[in-house]
Amino acid sequence: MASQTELAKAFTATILIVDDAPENLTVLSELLQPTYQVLATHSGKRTLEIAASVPKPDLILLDVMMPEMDGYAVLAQLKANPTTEDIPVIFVTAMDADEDQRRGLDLGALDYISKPLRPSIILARVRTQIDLKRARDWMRDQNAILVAEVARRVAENEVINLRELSERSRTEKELRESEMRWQFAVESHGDAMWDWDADKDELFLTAAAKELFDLPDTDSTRPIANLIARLHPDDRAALQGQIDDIIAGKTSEWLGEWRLSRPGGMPRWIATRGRVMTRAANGRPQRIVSISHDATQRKRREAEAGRQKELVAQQGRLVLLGELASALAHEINQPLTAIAGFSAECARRIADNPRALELVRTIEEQAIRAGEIAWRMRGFARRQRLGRTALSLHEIIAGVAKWIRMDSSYLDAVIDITGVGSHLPQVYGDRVELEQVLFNLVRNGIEAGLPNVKEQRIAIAGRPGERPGEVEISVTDWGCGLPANADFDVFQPFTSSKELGLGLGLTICFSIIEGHGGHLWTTANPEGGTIFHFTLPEAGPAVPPNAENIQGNLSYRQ
Amino acid sequence: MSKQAVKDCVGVVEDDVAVREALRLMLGALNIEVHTYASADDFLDDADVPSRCACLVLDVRLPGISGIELHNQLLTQKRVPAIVFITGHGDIPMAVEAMRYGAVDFLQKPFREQQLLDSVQKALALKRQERKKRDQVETTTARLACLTPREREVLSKLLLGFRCKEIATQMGLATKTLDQHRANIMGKMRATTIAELMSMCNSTPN
Repeated sequence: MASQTELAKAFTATILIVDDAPENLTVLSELLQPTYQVLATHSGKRTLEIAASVPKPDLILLDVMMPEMDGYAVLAQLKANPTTEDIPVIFVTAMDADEDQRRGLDLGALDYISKPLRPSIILARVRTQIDLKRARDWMRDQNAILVAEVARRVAENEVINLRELSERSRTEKELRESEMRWQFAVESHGDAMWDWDADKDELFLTAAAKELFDLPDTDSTRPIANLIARLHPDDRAALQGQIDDIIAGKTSEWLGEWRLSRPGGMPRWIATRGRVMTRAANGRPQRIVSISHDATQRKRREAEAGRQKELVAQQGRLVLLGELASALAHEINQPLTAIAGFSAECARRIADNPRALELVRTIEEQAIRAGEIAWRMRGFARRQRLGRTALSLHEIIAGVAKWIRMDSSYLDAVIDITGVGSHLPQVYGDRVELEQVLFNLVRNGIEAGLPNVKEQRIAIAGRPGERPGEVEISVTDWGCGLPANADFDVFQPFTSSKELGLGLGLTICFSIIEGHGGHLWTTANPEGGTIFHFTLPEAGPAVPPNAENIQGNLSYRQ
Repeated sequence: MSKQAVKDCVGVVEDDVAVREALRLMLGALNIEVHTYASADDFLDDADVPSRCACLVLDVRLPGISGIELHNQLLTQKRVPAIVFITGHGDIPMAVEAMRYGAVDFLQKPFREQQLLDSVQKALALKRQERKKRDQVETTTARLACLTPREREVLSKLLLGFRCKEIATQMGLATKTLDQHRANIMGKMRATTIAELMSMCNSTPN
């Protein structure tokens, strides 16, 4: 038994986890322990000691933010020590800390994992690095054998006989096999690998890379220049710049996403990460190994999500404009009515003075005209909105919850939609407008969060309304609540309890819900905070009323 | 004819003082009695105006009781003034609702004087017609009360379109007797032809 365990250990990769937060150490250990041998420490100093002792870790997961010695300092020292310089390091950074990630990669980290920690990503990244490390170790061993062999033969100045020739070809065969394994390790993750010899400007591509770059085998002269020429014009300068930086020694990594134009095909997005593998004695990079994958699908999804978000933002602007125009129309129409009225009375009193009468009539006409402009502005903003269809509230709510979760400004928000069953009846309305309402209400709830609470919880629930044929949706927060004073009406325009609030968000929600034939109101959350409720009429089988037609029938006489 | 001497009474409920004054001046162009109020409560509290008001020019959004709420409240009463709504908001669903509950017009601010006067006159004409009809019903009812039960029976058959001879046979009366009944009915109802009698009775319940 003992020998078997020993054997297993010899093949099990050892991973060192460094993090000053004990809970992170626990999470990572539990995640990695089933597959790897895990060592853990919370101190930078200990990291250096462990890395230099046996068993040498095959991979280090290094937290950037640590007291005393931070991740950068640890990495720099690891790279400075010949015993530890070749241990691959993955940085663990806070999400969106682009600068940290770039700096880490520049210092020689191979990859980074962003917090919050996601198990599937951690496992995938760790496995990739461990596979690569094994492939590299294998290559290095094979190379060492080959180099020793060649050295011995040169030293002996032996005439190569047939037997030796066959021996050498066997070594080469082994080398080729090792290379195949190495490629296999990379390609089994769906990545393509390529290796650029900068001195000779020679490019070696795996089969997957040839396929990815859509490169014919004959394309061998000035391969990098050819590759750059095939990129989208806007991406060429970026790649050229990165290559220049690498050649100049400013960085040893590149990281990029380029559009590759393909004859007779759609352009393809290629995401690439490369690093300098060998350098000449003067530090000039010789070989740069890169790993690429097809990012077209992801880019398309991102673009789609971006378009959706833009559509909602655009819709939001129109609703805002409509609301502003509406508020303006009302404020301005009062004095205009008075002007028109007084002018009419004035006209009666000066009926015997034709010139003055004409002027006063003009005043009345102009007041009416000003009013028409205000109405038209409001009508324009309304007309631009999208049409109405039968909608699933469940889908809309789930979609909005997903956006909020994706939005990095609301990382500490927890959106609970378990109270929204897919059994809710359909409603008849404008999808984007209803999304806008939910988005505003949820965002309001998050922003009402108390500062000392770490997690802002928002619960959305749906149920049949009190009146038949109605659905009621509630959005509950546990935040600071609304001012108790009776004069405070959150739905009035330009009313806000937030310091920077424009005071139109809830007015817009109110007007959208009323426009859908529903109601929006608030109640206090008994546990502290606020509950927003709104009702919407269920979509019946009958033909829905057309808002435009109603407007048309009610056009006022001019 | 003496009724013509009594001016129609029009109420105005509008919270904006300048608009209220302008409305008062504009309506002054009509030969009517105008009362203006800043709120629904002021209107309801004014002694006899709510009950004799023929037309009410009503702002939709008012502090306290809104124009729509006031309209709903008036609908529960016996004599409802004809409502002309005015609004600076022009909420379409609200307009639809208001028209459905019998508002005469829905004007968007600002409006020309002529629009307001047209709407108010339309409202007054409507009320006058209503009143005329009501008066007519009252007179017809009073005249019907003068008929004897036998005459009423004959009348109902006449209204169904039977000829005198047919009615006489049905009721077992002599034709001459029936002719007498018919003459009495025409006299009491002050009708000269059967057609006139029919139109008079059609506008009355029973």
